[in-house]
Formats: sequence, C-alpha cells, structure tokens
Amino acid sequence: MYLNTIISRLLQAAWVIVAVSAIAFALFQYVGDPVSQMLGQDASAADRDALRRDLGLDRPVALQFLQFLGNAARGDFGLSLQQGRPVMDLILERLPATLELTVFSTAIAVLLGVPMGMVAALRPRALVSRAIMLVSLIGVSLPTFFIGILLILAFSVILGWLPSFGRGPVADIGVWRTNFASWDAFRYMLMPAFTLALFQLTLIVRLVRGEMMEVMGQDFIRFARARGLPARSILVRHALKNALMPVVTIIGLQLGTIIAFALITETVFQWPGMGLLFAEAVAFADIPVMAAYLCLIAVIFVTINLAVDFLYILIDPRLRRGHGASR
Amino acid sequence: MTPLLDIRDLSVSFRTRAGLVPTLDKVSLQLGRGEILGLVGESGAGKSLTGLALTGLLPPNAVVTAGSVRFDGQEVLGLSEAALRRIRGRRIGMVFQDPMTALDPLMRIGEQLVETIRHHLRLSRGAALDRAAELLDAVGIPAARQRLRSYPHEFSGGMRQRVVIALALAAEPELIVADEPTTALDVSVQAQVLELLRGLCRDRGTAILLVTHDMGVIAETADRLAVLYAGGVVEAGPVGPVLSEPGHPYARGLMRAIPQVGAARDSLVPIEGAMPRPGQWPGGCRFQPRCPLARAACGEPPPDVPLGSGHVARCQFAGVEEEPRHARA
Repeated sequence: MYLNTIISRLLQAAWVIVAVSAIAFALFQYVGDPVSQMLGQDASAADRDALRRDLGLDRPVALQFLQFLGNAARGDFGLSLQQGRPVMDLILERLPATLELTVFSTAIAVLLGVPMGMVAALRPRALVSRAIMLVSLIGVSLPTFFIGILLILAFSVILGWLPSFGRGPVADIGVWRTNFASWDAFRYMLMPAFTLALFQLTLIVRLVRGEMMEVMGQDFIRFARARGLPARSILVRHALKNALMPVVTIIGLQLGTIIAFALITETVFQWPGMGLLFAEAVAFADIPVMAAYLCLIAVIFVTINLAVDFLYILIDPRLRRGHGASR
Repeated sequence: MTPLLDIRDLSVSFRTRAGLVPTLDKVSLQLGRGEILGLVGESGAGKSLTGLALTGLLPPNAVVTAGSVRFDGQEVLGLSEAALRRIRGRRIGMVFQDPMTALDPLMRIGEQLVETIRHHLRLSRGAALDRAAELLDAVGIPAARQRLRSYPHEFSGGMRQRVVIALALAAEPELIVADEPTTALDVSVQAQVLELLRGLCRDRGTAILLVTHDMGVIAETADRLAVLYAGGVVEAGPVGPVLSEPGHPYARGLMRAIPQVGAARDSLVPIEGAMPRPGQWPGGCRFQPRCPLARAACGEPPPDVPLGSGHVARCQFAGVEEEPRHARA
C-alpha cells in the first residue's frame, strides 16, 4: 500500500510547519523586549521581573517555544500590538477577502490559460498564437504592481468603468464576507483579480504550450490517430489529460505563492485581505500579526503541497505502483 | 482480381531548408487479401514512410510528389482528413514498433478499446465492452474481462503489443500495417506475436504489411517480400525464391549478413559501407558505391529483371549465371 508514502509526507509537512513556527517565534526574541515595551522605561526592576514571570519569559527558550506552538495550534497568537485585538480574529476577518481574490484569479488564469496554451501549441505559426506568446512575455516581465497601476490608469482614471480600490458593497453570508453576491461588489474584484491572474496565466500558457507540444509528438498520439479517432477526442481525452500533469503541480504551488504574494496586489488596490494586514503590520512592527501570518502561510503552503501530491496519485495510475508491486 | 492494396510509383520528399529531398522514389507494391507482405530494409530506407503514407499519417514536412495508392480500388492519396479517418482503424489498422509508448498511460486499456470500437462500430457501451473482452481474448491475453480494468503499465512488453494489436483489430480492418511489431520485444515473445499475426491472417483473412529490418521475421512470417534500399524497391517476390536465390547484390549481401545458429563465426559477411542518406543518392543504381559488381554501366538507372514466378530484381546482372569476377574499376 502507499500508506507509507502518505505518512512520510505528513511527517515532512509537520516538520516544515514547526521550522517556520520557530522562525516566527524568533521574531519575538530579536525584535525588542516586550516587557519594556509594555511597562515603559520607568518601571522598577521588581515590576519587570514580576511581569516577566507572569508572561513566562523567565523560563528556558525551548519551553517558551513549546508554549508558543501549543498556543498557535489553538489559534492563539496573542494580541495585536497595533489594534489590541486578538490576532486570530483580525486574520479570520481578512481571510475571506484574500481567498476570494486568489481563488477567483486562479480560476481566470486556468480557464483562459489552458485554452490559450493549447492554441499556441497546436498552431504555433498562427497570428493568434504569436499574440498569445507576446502577452505572456509581457506578463512575465512586467512587475505586478506596475500592471495594477496601468489597469487603474486605463479603467478607472481614463475610462472610469471600474472602481480602483477597496472591496465595495460586500454582502455578509454568515461569517463570510463576499464579493460574489452582487454585480456591484463583483466589479471591485475584477481589476485586482486580473492583475493577480496575469502572472499565473502566463505561466500556465507557457507550461501548457510546452507540454502539449511534447505530448502531441508522442507515439500514443500517433497511434490514436492511426486508430481513426477524431481530432477532438485525441486532443482532449489523450493529449490534454497527459499534458496537464505538470500543470496541476504548478497551479497548486502557485496558489500558495499567490496567497502569499497577493500582498502587492492588495496594497496597490487597497484590498482589505491578509496581505494588506501583513503590510500594515510590518509598517507598525506588529510582531504577533507578522508571526501569525507567517505560520498561517506555512500551513496553507504545506496543505496545498500535500493536496497536489495526493492529486497526482489520483490522476496518474503509474504512481500507484507501490500498490501493484505488492501483489 | 485487383489487389487489396496497389501502390504504384509512390514518391515522397521531405521539405527541408535545402529544398525538396526525395526519400521514397517510385515504390510499387501489391498486396492481396489475406496475404502477408514483408517490407525489409535498413533503417532510413523508407519502410516506415511507405506504411504511414497509406493512411495519410506522414509527418507534416513530408509531401507525396508522385504515384498512387489504391486501397480496395479507391485512391487514398489526396483524400480529405475526414475521409482518411473513415479508413484509419476501420479498414487499415496499424501496429507500431514500441508497445511501451503506443498506449495512453493514463487510460485503462478497456477504455481505449471501447473508445476505438464505439467510434467505428456504433455499439452500445455494454456491447463494446463485450467486444473489447473478446478482442483481448483473441490476441491471447488471459483473464481478458478483468484485464480491461488494467492500465498499460500493468502489462509486460509482449502483452502490451498484444493490446496494441487488439486495438488495431478493433474494427476488423482488411489490412494491418505492422511497423517493426516485434523489434522491441524479447526473442521468445517475438515468436508468439508473429504467430498471433499469422493466425489472424489465416483465420480472418486480414492482409498484413509487415515492415521490418529482420530477415528472420520475414522468413518465418511473410508470403512475399520486397527489399527496400535507399528509397526504392530493389527486389521483390515470393519469400522462398527471394531468400534462396536473391538476384540483387544487396539482397544477397543481406542473406549473408543473417546470423545462423551453429554456423562458423566468420560466415557472417557484413556489407561494406553505409546506405546513402536521402539527398546523397548517387545517380543510376543507388547501391553501386557498395556493390562488388559495380561497373560503368551502373551509372544508368538499372532495369527490373524478371526472374520467374513474380520474382523481380532491379539489377542488370540479375539472373546472369556466372557472377562477373572483376572487382570495381
């Protein structure tokens, strides 16, 4: 069975999270002394020691770290220095904004990128394909913030079609605050999502193009044609499915990166997501928020990585070989 | 009776930066129903190209410059892609060299069979599954029903080639083009696959164009054979006479280059030199630079000399009793 694989992957994932938490924990150790920050310069040495004991700061570092881990596991990252509210509440408030933005932009990138890559692979000399490759070149080479500013200039300043910042009239569905409930709110998401999507899109276009070109030259495609199968079913059932394997990996890994680096887009468009929260926290040296963000991103990354690994096993029967060999 | 497959003067060139490079030059072959025709030659002689031209599967940079290919009386060259698709798989099946790469690795073989069967025969899914199992059974795969759910990587090379043959047979084609079907297989498995092909030919009346570089395979399997050298047929005829009394010096060289079990090591005589590549063909007889019999007259296009009972060799010395002893001038 491949249970061994699953267990070893899970253990690896756990190690990564612990390592990142250690870095987050180290932030507290190196960026100033919380006691003097809380009591001010004039407090007596006795007061300082008392507070130090209360906060558990007199205990060995290893113990403190364990406690940090324990608290973090329960979602307790302490209070924000800037806002005085629990860090986890702040993050949970901002989470829907970032998730909606990143998932929507990934959807755009996949739904446009896969067909564009296929066209570019199948008709490499056509004018459309050249246009696609040009756009993808622009996408890789222009920095995200610049594209965002260009879009704002074009669609908000000159044309006046789309709002340039914020989430707009969002609706609350339970605890989830969404932009998908009305067209009015949805408009606010268009530019940030496209800005964020462009980099992924170019990546997917190039990847799908490369993979499709390779797969189309393979024997089993020739054999499928020799069997008389129609072009469309060869393309979709055989070529695309085989070409998508590496694309799935990249999309998965990118989703993590995108959540993390939505930061720039969120700053440009003042999108009130986690990225913007983090950017503000850095400006105010709000250590608990920074630490929590770091840990959360690590968890998201690792979870997506795991999901991609398992998706692989699901898609490609050859990876289930461990299963076959034991028969 | 008109032959099932009638190739006349088929010429194919490759488009390159240096212009059109002739690669097949006036190849003519005939193949009757239920017959096995072996097409032999070194790699690069144009064997595979001939097979691919039949179903319009030539690489995109290859162009047919002349000739005709009639299949069951119908001209195949110049047919539309849609018309070709009605022939591919349905009337002409193909088996490729490497069974490891010919199957879609992500699809169960039952699904690949059903897909092919349903495309050609308009059967219900259930009926197509039944037929898929029958086909696997017919090509000698044990526990066919259960194996439908297997993926290609779960089969050995020989078993995979059987699956490929089952796929080629899916719509009961009248002709199978088998391009080096046993080259990638172990010797012991080779014999089984050849036996399978021969059996199909016998039981179903399927004609086979067997493309190979292996004279042993031809000797065991084919009824007739054609020897291809540098894009042209240099000798053709029934297997017996061609193998025992080859008329063309190249064919004679091929026979001497076949290893025989039990023969002395030095009885193997390689042919000196290498086959000229397309674009570097000499004028006249293309074998003359390597030929022990070459003379000034070989600069002219050689004649096709009939040697009786359909045996033809393209050499002016073919059928001459005593081999001229003088070496090349």
